[in-house]
Amino acid sequence: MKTKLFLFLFVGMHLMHANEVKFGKVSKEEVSETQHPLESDAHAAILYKKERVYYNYDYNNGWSMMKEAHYRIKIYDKEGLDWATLQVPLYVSNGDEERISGVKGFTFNLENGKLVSEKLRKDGIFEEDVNKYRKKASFTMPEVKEGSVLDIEYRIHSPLIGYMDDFWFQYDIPVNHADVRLEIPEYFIFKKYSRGFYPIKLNEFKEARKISVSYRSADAQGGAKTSARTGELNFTEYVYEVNATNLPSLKEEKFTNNIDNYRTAIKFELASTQFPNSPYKNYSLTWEGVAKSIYDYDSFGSELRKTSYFEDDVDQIIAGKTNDMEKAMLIFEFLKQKMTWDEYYGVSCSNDGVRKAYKEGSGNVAEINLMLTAMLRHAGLNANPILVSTRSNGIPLFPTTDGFNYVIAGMEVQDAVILFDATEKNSSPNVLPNRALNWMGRLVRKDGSSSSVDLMPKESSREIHSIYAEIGGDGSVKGKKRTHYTNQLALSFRNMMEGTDQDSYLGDLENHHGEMEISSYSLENNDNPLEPILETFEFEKEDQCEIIGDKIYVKPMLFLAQVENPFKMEKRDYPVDFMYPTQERYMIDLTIPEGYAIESLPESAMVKLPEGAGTFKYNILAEGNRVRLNVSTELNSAIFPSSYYEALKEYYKNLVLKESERIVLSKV
Amino acid sequence: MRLLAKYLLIATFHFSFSQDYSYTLIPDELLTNADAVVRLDRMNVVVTAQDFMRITSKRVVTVLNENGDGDVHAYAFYDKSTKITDLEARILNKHGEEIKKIKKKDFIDQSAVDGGTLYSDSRVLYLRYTPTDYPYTVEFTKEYTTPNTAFAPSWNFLDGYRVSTEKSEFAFSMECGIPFRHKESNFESYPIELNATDTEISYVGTNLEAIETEPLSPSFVEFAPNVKIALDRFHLEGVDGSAKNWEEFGQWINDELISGRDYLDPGTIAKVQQLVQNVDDPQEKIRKVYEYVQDNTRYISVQLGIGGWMPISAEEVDRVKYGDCKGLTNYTKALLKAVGIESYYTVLFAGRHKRDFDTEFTSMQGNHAFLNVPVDGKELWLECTSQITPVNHLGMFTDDRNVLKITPTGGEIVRTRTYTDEENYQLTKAEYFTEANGSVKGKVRIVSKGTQYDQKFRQPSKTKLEQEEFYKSYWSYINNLSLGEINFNNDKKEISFLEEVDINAENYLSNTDGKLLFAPNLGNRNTHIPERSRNRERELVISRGYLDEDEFTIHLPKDYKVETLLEPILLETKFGSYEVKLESKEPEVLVYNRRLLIKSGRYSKEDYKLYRDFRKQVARYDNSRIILTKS
Repeated sequence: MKTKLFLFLFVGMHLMHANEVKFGKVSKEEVSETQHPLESDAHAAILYKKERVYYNYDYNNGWSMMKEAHYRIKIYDKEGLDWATLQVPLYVSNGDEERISGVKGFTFNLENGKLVSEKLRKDGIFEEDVNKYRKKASFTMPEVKEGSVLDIEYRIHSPLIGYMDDFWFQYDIPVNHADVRLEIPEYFIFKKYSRGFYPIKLNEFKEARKISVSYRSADAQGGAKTSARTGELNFTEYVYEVNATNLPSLKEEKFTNNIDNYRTAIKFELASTQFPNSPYKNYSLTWEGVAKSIYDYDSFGSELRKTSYFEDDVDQIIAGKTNDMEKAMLIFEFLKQKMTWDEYYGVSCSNDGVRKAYKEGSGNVAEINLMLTAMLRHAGLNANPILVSTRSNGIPLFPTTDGFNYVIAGMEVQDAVILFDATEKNSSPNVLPNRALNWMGRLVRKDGSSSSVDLMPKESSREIHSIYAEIGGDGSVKGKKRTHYTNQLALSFRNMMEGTDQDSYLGDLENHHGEMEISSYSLENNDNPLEPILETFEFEKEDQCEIIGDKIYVKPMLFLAQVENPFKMEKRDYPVDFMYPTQERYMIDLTIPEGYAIESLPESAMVKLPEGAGTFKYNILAEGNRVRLNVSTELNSAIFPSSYYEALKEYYKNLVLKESERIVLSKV
Repeated sequence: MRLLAKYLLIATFHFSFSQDYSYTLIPDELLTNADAVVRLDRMNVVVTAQDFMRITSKRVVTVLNENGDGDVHAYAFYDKSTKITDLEARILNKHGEEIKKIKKKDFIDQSAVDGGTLYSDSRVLYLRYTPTDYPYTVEFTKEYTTPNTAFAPSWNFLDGYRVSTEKSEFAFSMECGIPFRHKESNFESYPIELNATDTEISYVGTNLEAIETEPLSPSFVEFAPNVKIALDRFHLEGVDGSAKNWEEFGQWINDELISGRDYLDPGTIAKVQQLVQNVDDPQEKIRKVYEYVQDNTRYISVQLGIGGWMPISAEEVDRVKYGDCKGLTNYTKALLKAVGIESYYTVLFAGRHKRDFDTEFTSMQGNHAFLNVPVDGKELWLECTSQITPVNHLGMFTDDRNVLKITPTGGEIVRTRTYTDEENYQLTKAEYFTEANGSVKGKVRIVSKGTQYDQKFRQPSKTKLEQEEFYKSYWSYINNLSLGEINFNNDKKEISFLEEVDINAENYLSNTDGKLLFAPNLGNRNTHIPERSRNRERELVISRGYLDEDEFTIHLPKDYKVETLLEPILLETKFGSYEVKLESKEPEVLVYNRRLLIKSGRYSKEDYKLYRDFRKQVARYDNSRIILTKS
């Protein structure tokens, strides 16, 4: 009876482990597979990925983290060969650096129906100091060809015990199976956040763990002699297991914010530590906590409190001014002129700090916008820094300290917050550079309390085009154009003009509109970000209208008609992100050539997106020898979920179709 | 007392060289068309031994606007053998006053491994400076030593487009008696002084104006003044060499860098011999061996020391099955040798822009290696880094240029294959059906050859999404395009690529008052017009020509007839010709024939406008529409 039970147990255990993927145990089936079962056009696939993280303790160095990784990669075709090279970043911080060891790799191929393997040798492993903050290990596998299966494993020893890279479950190629296991001693509390479209399963449980620790201690007599001893550390570990199966490849699409926002991944962020005989230490738990802890950095809070370096300058600028907004504008313009952004991101000032940055006239984003905040405060305004995650940093769905990488300034007035970013010379209040237009920011007050602020522009950015033109009997067109751009569109225009001289801009504009001659060009307010851009010019264009037989076909929007639907693909997975809401308006007045009459006009029309998210209006009327057109398009929302894709595509289809319709002119 | 004298000397020295770099001192003509002005570019090269060269330089650049930030060039590359001994920068404001000084330790130290390389020991120290005001000036001094005299510095008196030079001084001095050669190019229209003795040569150029970019123009090196220097006896990463001409230079590459690196183990030799067993045709043998390489290796670049010039051994490549261009070329050469076919390692400048080896000046040149195989009186070329390129397909990467072929008896400059305009061929045949509701449906077949093959033959390995993107952008003028079945046939032997694509689109025809309008050219429109070039100063260069032929059979909607057909068009120009014809073959069926030939060549600067006019006409006729009316 006993034997039977034992057997039964044995079999049970064996079954339980049947799914486990063992390093080096690659099957013939895996190598002979010629295409991915779910994505037939995949060049390669991650058949299996395993990551394990655990902690070690040693008496001299304390805690350290160990990360073990195992990747099994299948190469289907020659385009997939790039996956035979793996690169692993190794972080360096304040003299502590991650070290890689135990790199093992095998390439499996079929030769005459037999499974053969080739080992990764030292000459395929490289380590490189990329810069002060990062090293890199690279491995490239031997004997790789179409069909090869690669098994690679390595370990990283990390003294940076509070930091883990995100665990990814989705790549440019499909992932068949991924396991992540973290074993975290009770002294470390991590928060976990998952993102992405595909469900992953997380198991959490506790296990007891025991570490024996060797150390030397002074003998009881208190002499200089020490002796080796061994102690035991008993504690509880939190174990997290994440399993994911069949994750499709991640594909970049147009009008997508940072693709990482949609990648299926899980993040572990250190929230607090509680070591025996040490006080509890909180790192981050909530957005309030994150904001508070950033505020408490010396490189943030104390830099913000410094004022002596600018007081004289600011006092002079605002002398005699009483209006708050006027004071704010004077300071903002002064600082934009004074400071140049060095293009470094971050929520903390560099080692140089605000004082030196101010003296040198350049600094990082924290330096410049904390300076701005301090100056506004000095002028008696209610200003606070706002922590932001840039578009390149992704949408901060969960409170984590690296969830923010940028700072702007906000001024609270009545029931609104006016946003300022002095790193961008062409910006104006509430018109932030695109990089900062990402979801919500966190405004931090003097007492460390904080609240969230919507960064999305409330006001639509507008472009208004007016044309007054005459059609020639030869199909040419000649006239005047006036264009307005406001807010974000004006900012983009100004940034585009920076470093471009007017001649080359006009050359580009002429080409853009298809062989046009531009004259009497004038540009107003380009240097005054508070006012809309106003551009006027006269133009002449041959061949604008088609002549077929004795008729002239005129697109009433002339060269401004949108000719292509921006959405061409059949389906879409990710939200469409236009960055900010927009309104376009076209007012066009055309005079037809002498000797011609209007035979037909396109019909007026209107196209709407569901739920009032957008409207396209097209109104046209003829009066004698003139045609007047009034077209407007409004996109009231900047972000459309992918379920909206069909509607958007259809909207643009109708828009393009309408704008391509012609007025028919015939000889009288 | 002696100490003081020395101190004084240094002080005077410093004083006398302390130049005024105020912006206002720049002559007006140097500001025209310039984003930056090189105030001083001075380099002294001293060769003290075959394997030791010291390079001292000082460069002062006034940056006029943000486009000129990249012209400062305040960086220094180094590696195990190249040592930076001095590095410093000073930032001056527009008045020439110092606002910042950057010492060597404050330069950023970073790995200089480029994107295509997995590993090399090359590193760079560079200056990161955020300009706060324009114009500003950077004075950058650098000194380094290197044993690699094979790369004696060359000198450009103009940096590139939109940068002028106030003063450019280059001096080369030979202190160990090695004969050296120098070659000056494009000095004609520039006031550059040259002073030469047996052991020294120096040049001074003053006030060289900035050159504006022009579309379709000759490459910058063809007209900008420059100097090349080469030593008759030189050194490269532990290897000595000597050469006065290409024959000797090739001999050196052969003897020191390639020879003896083709050993293969007997197993591999047996395997490759078995591969060509019963194959008599040598071209077929070459194809088999080449495809074996393509199926079993991949490109991985690792450049360490002499490994930047010497291929890794064939034996090593055979074991790991990867290598860089040198390694894979040498490996293919070894495999061909094993089946009795002689081939030659060839060094060249690869890239879309054709660049020649300088036939008249022997020195280290090139950025790529591939293989030359003479067979049956023909020269075949094998690109060993590609897994899919067919035998003897050079494409735009390696076509039509002077290259250095290495043989056991020396080097030889030869020219790679030139594609004629007609060989860069594309034939598009389509049959499509139009409907009264505006939709169109049909099948397009495209055959591509020559350099046009280049642009297509990677299609099959793309994902379905990428293919969809490609065709929707290829036919971007067809709105609401949907793609049906897509088939390819890559004929690697004929080097001809076939695409068959089913398409359909709504609203291709527009309805105006019961009449249907549409452009019969649905399958191939060349609507690109080269940009306008005001005050053109240099020749027009069309570096590759092509021939497109199109034949579309168009079925009209039921009960419709053509109101106006296209007038037949024939444009003949020196740049090529364009021909279009639309004929009604039978009721409700039209046949559209089009032929566009673009001729490669160099044309006068006045021709640029004429060429543009030609392309404008082509674009216009390609977009022309016809009208159908109900019968």
